[in-house]
Amino acid sequence: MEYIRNVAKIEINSDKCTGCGLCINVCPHGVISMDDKVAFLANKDRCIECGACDNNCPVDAIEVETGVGCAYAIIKSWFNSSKTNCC
Amino acid sequence: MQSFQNGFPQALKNGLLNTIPYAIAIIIGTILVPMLLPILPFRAFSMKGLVLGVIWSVVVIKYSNVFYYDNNIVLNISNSLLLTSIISFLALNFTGSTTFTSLSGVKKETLIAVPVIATSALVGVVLMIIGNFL
Ligand code: SF4
Ligand code: SF4
Repeated sequence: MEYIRNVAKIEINSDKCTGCGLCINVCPHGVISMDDKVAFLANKDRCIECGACDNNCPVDAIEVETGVGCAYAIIKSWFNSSKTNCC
Repeated sequence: MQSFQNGFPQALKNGLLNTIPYAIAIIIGTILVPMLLPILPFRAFSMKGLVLGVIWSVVVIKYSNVFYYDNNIVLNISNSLLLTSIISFLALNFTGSTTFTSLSGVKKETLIAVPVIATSALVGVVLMIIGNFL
């Protein structure tokens, strides 16, 4: 199943990428693929912003804004400027 | 307002019957929505809830006499707005419980859905008050 399109906040810096493939191994949704030894976002809309790729990249080539998509926490944060961490 | 003319026990009975569609709406939002998540249309959870909300509203209007509602158009619109808002809001709250939603997606959905749901609920309450005096 896929969620809202064109919103995932994830970038791969191809200049930094060494093509080790770790991000591909850890991504639970098959978002990343390899092209000519450089990782790229093949299915960006499937990204759930879990941050596993970012955490495992040895050269810090991936930037992703992580968090749990909890609507209740988001609504709560509107009123008390708390973080949008889940319940 | 007929219920009050027939005494308090009757009003209580009618009131209880009136709440049944709302209790069922909560059950739909908390049990049916997650069960049907993969087959309900739309990507946004609130829209999935909206689909079930509209279906349930149609059923409630069709059987309004069973739930002891005066079958006037203002009350029907009011009930539909309130029931759909409840189910849609409950559906929205399941975004944190799946393996395919993202924070950015939920932020976007919440920003659009919550004001719409809150407005329809408010209009629903106002129409409910007006409808009971017609
Ligand atoms: S954040 Fe998670 S889902 Fe998105 S690309 Fe990285 S590992 Fe895959
Ligand atoms: S983990 Fe980092 S370095 Fe390795 S392929 Fe992925 S982006 Fe490139």
